[in-house]
Amino acid sequence: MNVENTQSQMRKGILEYCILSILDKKEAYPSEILERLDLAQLKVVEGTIYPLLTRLKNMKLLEYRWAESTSGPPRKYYTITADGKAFLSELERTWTELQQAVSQITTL
Amino acid sequence: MNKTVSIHLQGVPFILEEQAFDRLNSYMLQLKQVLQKEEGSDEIIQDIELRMVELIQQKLTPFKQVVEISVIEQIIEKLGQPEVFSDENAATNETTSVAQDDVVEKRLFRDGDRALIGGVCAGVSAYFNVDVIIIRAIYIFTFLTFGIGFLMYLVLWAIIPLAKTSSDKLRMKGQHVTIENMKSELEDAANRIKKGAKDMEIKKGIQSTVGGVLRILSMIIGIWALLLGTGIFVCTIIFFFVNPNIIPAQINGRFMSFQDFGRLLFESAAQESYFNLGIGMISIALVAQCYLLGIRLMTRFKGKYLKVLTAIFGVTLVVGVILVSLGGVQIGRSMAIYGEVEKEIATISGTELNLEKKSIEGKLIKGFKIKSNGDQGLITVKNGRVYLRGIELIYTQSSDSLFHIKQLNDAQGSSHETALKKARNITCYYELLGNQMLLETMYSFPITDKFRDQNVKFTICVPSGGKIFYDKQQVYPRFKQEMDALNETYQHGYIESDGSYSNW
Repeated sequence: MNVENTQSQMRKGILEYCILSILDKKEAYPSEILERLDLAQLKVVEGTIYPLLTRLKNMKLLEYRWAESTSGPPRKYYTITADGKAFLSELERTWTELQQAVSQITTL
Repeated sequence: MNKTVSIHLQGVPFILEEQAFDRLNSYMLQLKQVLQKEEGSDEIIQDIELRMVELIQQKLTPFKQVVEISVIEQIIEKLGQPEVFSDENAATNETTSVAQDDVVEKRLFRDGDRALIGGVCAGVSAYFNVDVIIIRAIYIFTFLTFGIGFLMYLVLWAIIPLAKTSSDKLRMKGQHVTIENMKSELEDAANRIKKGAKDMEIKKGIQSTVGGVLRILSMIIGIWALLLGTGIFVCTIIFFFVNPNIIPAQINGRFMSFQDFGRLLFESAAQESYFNLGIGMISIALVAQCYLLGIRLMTRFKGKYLKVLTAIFGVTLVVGVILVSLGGVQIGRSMAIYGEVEKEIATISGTELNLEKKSIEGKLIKGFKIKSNGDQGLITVKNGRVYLRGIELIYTQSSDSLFHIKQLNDAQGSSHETALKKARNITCYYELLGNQMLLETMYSFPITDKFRDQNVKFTICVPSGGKIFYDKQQVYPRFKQEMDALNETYQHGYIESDGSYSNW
């Protein structure tokens, strides 16, 4: 197991939290989500988010609607559901706890 | 110079270098395999394809329309190797290793692009790499012979998935078919049924089911229309060209044909040919309409020519009906006027009149007694004369002490003259021997008179106390009390074609 693999595992872990956060602010289609992640310099292989989106949707944390696009095939706009928001606030709490724990451990 | 392949992803067309296509194809197949066990893998594939469309479109310019291998490589790098797609829940070493084997697994799909109904035949033909016509022929054969084809089709339609994405379509036509593959197909189908029962998109399902049932119905009606058309066509050919002698009436010692019968009805040859022309036009129009309907229902072909042909044969049908009705009207007109002639044929004294059947029956031929000569058909045409059977008897009271027998002929014609002439032309066959009258059950008229409802009756005036016997059975007076009650003075009798007597 090399360092890259560990890095990608770490990223993968928080990806769910990031996607839910992005969609909590405004609905978006996959490419937009990727753009946001890219902008935040969170390096993800694009392929990872598609199964994740579908899984979140199947868990009823997300839902989507189709919208026509001027430049290509129709787009799938994802929005967060009430369940998703509840789920997200749980993740937020955990994230804060983790952050504190990690910084405490690393700065000791 | 490079060969290109044109594809479409999520409805957007692209032209790919052959190399690029191969790379994309194997990538998509690998993805499918990795995602196979994932819940909602179709959706994920769809999302990825949508993303690919975006990415490819970004790389294309008005001067660079063909997607090169380098573009595909860049996109794959961006999207990630197939194994990254596997979500952590389902990510196992097993699926990853399968994906890396780069095996093109062929799968059974329904082919919506080449579908007539549900694309089952087209999909099966792609799977076995056989021409779709052969599969359809086999299917129609099983449908027509045992009817199981119908049920089989519905089942296959339900369990085989439609090839939705382009990678589906590629796999549908993939290379290798092994027993193993086919086994896993069946297992997959079983899983899909279970899953489908759970999370089927109900509305869409119903829509496609209703649409499908309608298509099957229209196919069935289409097949029937074609069969009906063929039936009418064969009948028409038989009617006009074979003209079989199948009407159970004798003409010159053989059975009558339709045209023989027509000749008995129509006043002139011209009339007959108009009528036949009408029948012909109706038949051709019906055959054509059946075929047009069949073609329209069986295929999705909706051409301008079909409409034009339908209109043309519609007009043909109407003209045919008009000609046939004109023929009918002409026959009706030539039967419009009723004429009757009467002639006293005998006066007999005494109190009894014996009527007997005049026939060869009962005669002896070489030791055998003839029971019946079999000549009992309703219509017989022989030597230019038409023979009909069945004679009516009318009994009335005589004004004197004698039996008076009168023969009454009636017929119909287009005018009084022709009606009376036809009535006069009727001949019947009887013999008088003292107080015995021998009657033939048949009477005849010249064939040139045509069939104009010619009838023969005998009016018998009976003196008071007089009795009439037919074949030794008293037939008059009968039911005396009833007759008195009704204050009727006459009674009817009828000698049937076989010579038996019945009361009216």
